[in-house]
Amino acid sequence: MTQSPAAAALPSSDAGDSRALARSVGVNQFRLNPFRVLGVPVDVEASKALWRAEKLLTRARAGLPPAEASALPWLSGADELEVQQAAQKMEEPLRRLSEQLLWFDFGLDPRGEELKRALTGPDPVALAAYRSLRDEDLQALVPEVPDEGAADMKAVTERLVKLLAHRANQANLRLVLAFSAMYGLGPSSEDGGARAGGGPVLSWEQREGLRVVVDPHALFGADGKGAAWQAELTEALARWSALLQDSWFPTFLGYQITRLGDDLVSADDCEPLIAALRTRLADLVVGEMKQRLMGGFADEARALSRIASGSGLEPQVWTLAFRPLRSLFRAELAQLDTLVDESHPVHLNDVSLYLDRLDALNASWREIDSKQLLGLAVLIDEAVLRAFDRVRTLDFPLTGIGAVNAVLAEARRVANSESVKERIAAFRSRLEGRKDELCHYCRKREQDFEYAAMLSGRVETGRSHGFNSTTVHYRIRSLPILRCASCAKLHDYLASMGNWAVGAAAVTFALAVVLFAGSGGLLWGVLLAGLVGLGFRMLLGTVVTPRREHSYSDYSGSKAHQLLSEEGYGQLQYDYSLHAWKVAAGRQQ
Amino acid sequence: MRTTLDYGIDLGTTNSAIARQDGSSTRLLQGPHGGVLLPSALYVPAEGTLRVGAAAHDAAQADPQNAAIEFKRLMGTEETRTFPASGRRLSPEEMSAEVLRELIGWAAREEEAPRAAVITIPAMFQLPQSEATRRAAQLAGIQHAPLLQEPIAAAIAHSGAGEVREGYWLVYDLGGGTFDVSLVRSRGGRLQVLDHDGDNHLGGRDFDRVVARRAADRVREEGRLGGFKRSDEALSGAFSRLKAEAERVRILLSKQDQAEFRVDQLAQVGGAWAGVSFPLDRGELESLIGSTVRRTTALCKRLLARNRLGAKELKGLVLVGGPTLTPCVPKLIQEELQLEARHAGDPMTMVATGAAIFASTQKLPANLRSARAGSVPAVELQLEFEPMTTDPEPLVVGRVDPARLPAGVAVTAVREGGGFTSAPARVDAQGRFALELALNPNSLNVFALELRSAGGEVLAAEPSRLTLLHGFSVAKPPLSQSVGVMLAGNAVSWYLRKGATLPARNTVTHATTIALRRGQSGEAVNIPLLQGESGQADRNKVIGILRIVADKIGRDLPAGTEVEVTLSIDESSQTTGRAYVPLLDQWFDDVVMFRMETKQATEVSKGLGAQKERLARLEQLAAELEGGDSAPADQRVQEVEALIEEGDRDSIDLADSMVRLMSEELDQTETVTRGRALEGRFQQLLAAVSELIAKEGDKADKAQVRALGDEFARAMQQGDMELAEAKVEDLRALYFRVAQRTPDFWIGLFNHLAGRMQELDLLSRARDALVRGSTAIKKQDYDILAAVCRELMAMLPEQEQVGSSIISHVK
Repeated sequence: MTQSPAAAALPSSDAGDSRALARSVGVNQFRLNPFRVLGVPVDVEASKALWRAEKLLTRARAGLPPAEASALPWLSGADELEVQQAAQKMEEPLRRLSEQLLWFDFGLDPRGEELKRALTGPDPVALAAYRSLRDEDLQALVPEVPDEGAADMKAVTERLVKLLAHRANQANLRLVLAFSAMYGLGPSSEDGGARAGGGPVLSWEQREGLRVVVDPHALFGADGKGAAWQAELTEALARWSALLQDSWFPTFLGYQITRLGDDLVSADDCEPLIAALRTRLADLVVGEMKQRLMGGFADEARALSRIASGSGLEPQVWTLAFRPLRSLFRAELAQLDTLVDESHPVHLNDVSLYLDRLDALNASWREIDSKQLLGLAVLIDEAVLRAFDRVRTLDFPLTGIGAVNAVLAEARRVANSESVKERIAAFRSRLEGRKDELCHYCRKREQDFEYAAMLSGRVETGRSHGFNSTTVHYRIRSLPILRCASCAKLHDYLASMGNWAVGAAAVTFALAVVLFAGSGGLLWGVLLAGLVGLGFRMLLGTVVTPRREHSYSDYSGSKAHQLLSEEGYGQLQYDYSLHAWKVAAGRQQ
Repeated sequence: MRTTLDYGIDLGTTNSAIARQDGSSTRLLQGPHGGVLLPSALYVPAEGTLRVGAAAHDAAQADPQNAAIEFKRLMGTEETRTFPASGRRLSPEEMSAEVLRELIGWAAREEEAPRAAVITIPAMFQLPQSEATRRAAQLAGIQHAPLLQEPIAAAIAHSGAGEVREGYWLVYDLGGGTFDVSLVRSRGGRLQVLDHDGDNHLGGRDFDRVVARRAADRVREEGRLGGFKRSDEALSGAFSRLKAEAERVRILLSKQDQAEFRVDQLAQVGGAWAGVSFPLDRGELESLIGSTVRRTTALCKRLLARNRLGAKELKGLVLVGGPTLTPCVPKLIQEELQLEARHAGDPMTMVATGAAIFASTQKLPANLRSARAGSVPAVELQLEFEPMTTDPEPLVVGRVDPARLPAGVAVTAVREGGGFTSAPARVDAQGRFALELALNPNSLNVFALELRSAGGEVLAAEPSRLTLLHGFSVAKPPLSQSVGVMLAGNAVSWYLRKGATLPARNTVTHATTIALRRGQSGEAVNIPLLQGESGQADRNKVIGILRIVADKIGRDLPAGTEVEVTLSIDESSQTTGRAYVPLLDQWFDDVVMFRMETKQATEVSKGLGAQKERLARLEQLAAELEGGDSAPADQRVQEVEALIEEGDRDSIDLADSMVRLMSEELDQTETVTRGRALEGRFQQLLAAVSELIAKEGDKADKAQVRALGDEFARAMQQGDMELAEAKVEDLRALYFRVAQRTPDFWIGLFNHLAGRMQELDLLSRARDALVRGSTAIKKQDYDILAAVCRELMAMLPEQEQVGSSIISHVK
């Protein structure tokens, strides 16, 4: 007989923390269940439940404890107000039914009496025995009914109702054991067990002169310390999920409603009750998750998130249940807001830092919310958009586009949703496009139209033949190559140096003619003069043009060249003088 | 010696009463004049004593400036009333205290003045109003004053009289100023209020209001008194006279078919008195008050629908409150609800009677009990038991001081009339004992308590008897409105929901959103306490603020600090709030309680305007969506406008209440249609965006549209309406971003802004920009045009300025 894992619950981080226990929604679901508080069976009449409550209250007010022990003795008792509230729950039929579903029907369950004794004892051995029961084990107690048509439906229904009652008990048992184990509570084991032993067995090893525990995270992390309640809770939710999807569950619920005999509830309430139960189960998990998040127990919060996403309950249920937790995460995000706050000037570095922090948060939140039930990715995207909007309001020159785009690339990377990524990408590409407004040559400074270089081309448009002549018609087009004032002045300087180059070439020619007179001096003169002239300017152009900038003569990558080429213009003429634009404009006029 | 409260007081808007439970009978106490009703009126003359009751009510007609009536409607507000003759200024609590004092005086004529009594309040009273009632009781010398909801008191009176043992019924309580309707179930003698509804600004005086309004219309038609506005201070006396006459005529019409409305001395014109007179019959009265009665029946229908009950399933409807005696009221109710409406007992005193019955179940605190007569020392017993129960075998537990007892004492209970003697219950070492009794069914059972020592000696005990009523018990009252805490982001965390049984308590853990530095004077973490039903915090009433003040914290608190907030509400709706900060291990219970807010006409008008816009939007949406839910009718809009026009305090409060109700109904309609509305909006936007992008967009824009479409569908599938709404807004923002790239957008915006500048008379300021804009259009310089548009937008009033998110700031 295997011992219940919960019976050997390891002390949780909250063991002995009575405040945390008092806040536990999971534990309180069972501790304050009215059937437990009043010590009555689920089929008790409302009046008798009320009388029981009156007696309990009378005793409580006089300082007397209840006369009988209640089930789940490891959970504390109820105070006067809680007894009153329990009595009231019994008088509200829908509320009563909701509580009933998350309690134990000892009467309807064929093995209910065993469970009752085990829970009241408590008797871990008997609990383990009950836990290990399967549906097949109940067949002996629930006789088969011959399948002979509608006449036997009542018997079939009764049989199924008992089976479902047993299944519900099994699910609830695991639920209460899981929540109890979260706080280091539960039925203690006869052989002492891990709980009495006070902790996990540690194994030590010697490492570089130090004694270290082997893999402590496995013992105290999600796979070790928390494994017991996590496995229990996972199974509880899986069982409940299966029950809720069982086509006979509404019939089971209808049976409960009929048994209650209160005309304020009817079969029409089955669906709302089922929905309420789903919501309640989700709320229990979310409530515990909130406790863990606020206590800083991220591992356990992640575990609960995993359990939630794998539970089989519909995602919509979890989305709604988790929504209130968003404020916790929003508060965490809000601490970063000062970096991008609109109330004070913000630098690009601030935004970059903000994005770094967001990235770190995003990574840790992804572990908590891998299935997007909490909607944390949406919060990150909202924050990314705040950063994005802030960048858009920054005043930066065109030369700063590179740095801005680098930050935006980071923002795009951090964003989770495609729409946000696309939006940032679109903006980035438009910013890149603004680079065309930079000087074609240096790509650093803004253009100044007044200093544009000019590229002209001509294209033949036709020929007209006269008497003895042919006229060729051309269209000439001049387009500016936009450059900054600095590059224009440099180019002008180079142009002026061209005169010096001519002079140098002339001197070289003369020298060559003289030196090589009689042996092709003219030819040598022309050759050398050309080399000197060309080389002089090229050398000068290369020397004075900064690295990674286009040389004065490099118009081939410009838009003007591209356009002229596309439109078939040839015989290009290139004017890179200082006032080339004005000259061209003057010509046009 | 009384050990239970026994006194019940109905503190009404128009009339008050006091009753006392003596054994199994309930008696209404009489005033010096022999009547059982005390008009809730005050007259403060220049000299002499303040007058309360009928004398004050009579004086109110002749000298309204120095009289006050219907001040219950002002309970919980900051409003005070100044009485010019004496110069005295009284708050609503002080005025109510005078009425209570008078009633206590009636009781003092028969025995020692009670220092404890149950006082009734309307079920829909908000917490500040309940607090004000408690304060009034304290001022009147009533040291212990549990509050009881009026419908419950009426139900107790009705049920306790043996009228109904099983079944459902409605208690329709129409008082002078408030209306409450409760759905009650009686099962095996157990009385339970399942649900209730009501309106704190709806009562019999509204009947008088509509009749007085008709009279005022006649006066205006005759024209002798000009505009004859209620807000005209000089005419306040005239309107009081009209109202008093309206009340008189209304009461008269309950006895006869016709009456004459006549006020000879209404107001003076040129030294002579002008009056008004016209005939009024029951039929006309019915048509005048019909809409008011239908407001009450609408609330009844809402209550029944909420509980999925029909009229056929009810045993009946019990009428409570003087205005229900108005002749056509039961007829109108029966027509609307298809339910027999009847008076089961005197509707004007039922509440006081029920309060007294309830008071007999409430233990009198020991310090308020009279000294015991007699010289023989007795053993004092502290008994715990349910004085009213359906349990045939209840438990009684008692405690004595063991030091005063010899060993081996046992207690026995012997039923008077014979038939039962309990087994002796030994007193334990702590002085406790428990007795199991057997009761005669459905009757008052009196038991004599005997203390005997081990030697058989009988010891004197006090009390020496105990009384239990079998066959009737009352469930604890439900909370009339949910109570919770406002969270950042206009959200609400509900602690105790409407219908929760009182007393109730809940603790929720939150995290702070701001940091608090120790000693930072004046700074605090504020936790607003709310009462209402809306999921949006600003739609509810703030009833108080629980503060964690910086002056009291032991160390700095960072943002995100855990705070456990506990809200408790006792049976009398007394609310306490406490906060525990684990980081400090400190409790905070500094609660600043708010009064009821009283709005000015302009604020109410603004609120109405907002609701009219929402109404128009919903009507449009309903027309667009096939089979969409229709928005609530806007007849009330006209009614609200008329009330605002009247301008007096009461009318404004009523108008505010109606606007709030409209807002709640529109919230519900919006919630119901939210999903379909979102889907509709998204599809419409998608069509517009797709068309625009086909002309002006690029690949990146198309990618964004696709991504948004997928994300919207996913959000709808997950049922995440907030996320879906965010995606709709993202799509709208994309539309504007793309549109901004087109010259047409800027030209259109410029033309629109130019028009607005003209309408707002800002042309002189905007002239230069307008010239530049026109030039830019001619030159097709859209960068300049965009800059001009931004300039012009900055000149608009704040609420008209387009959000910066729509306008790109890249330069």
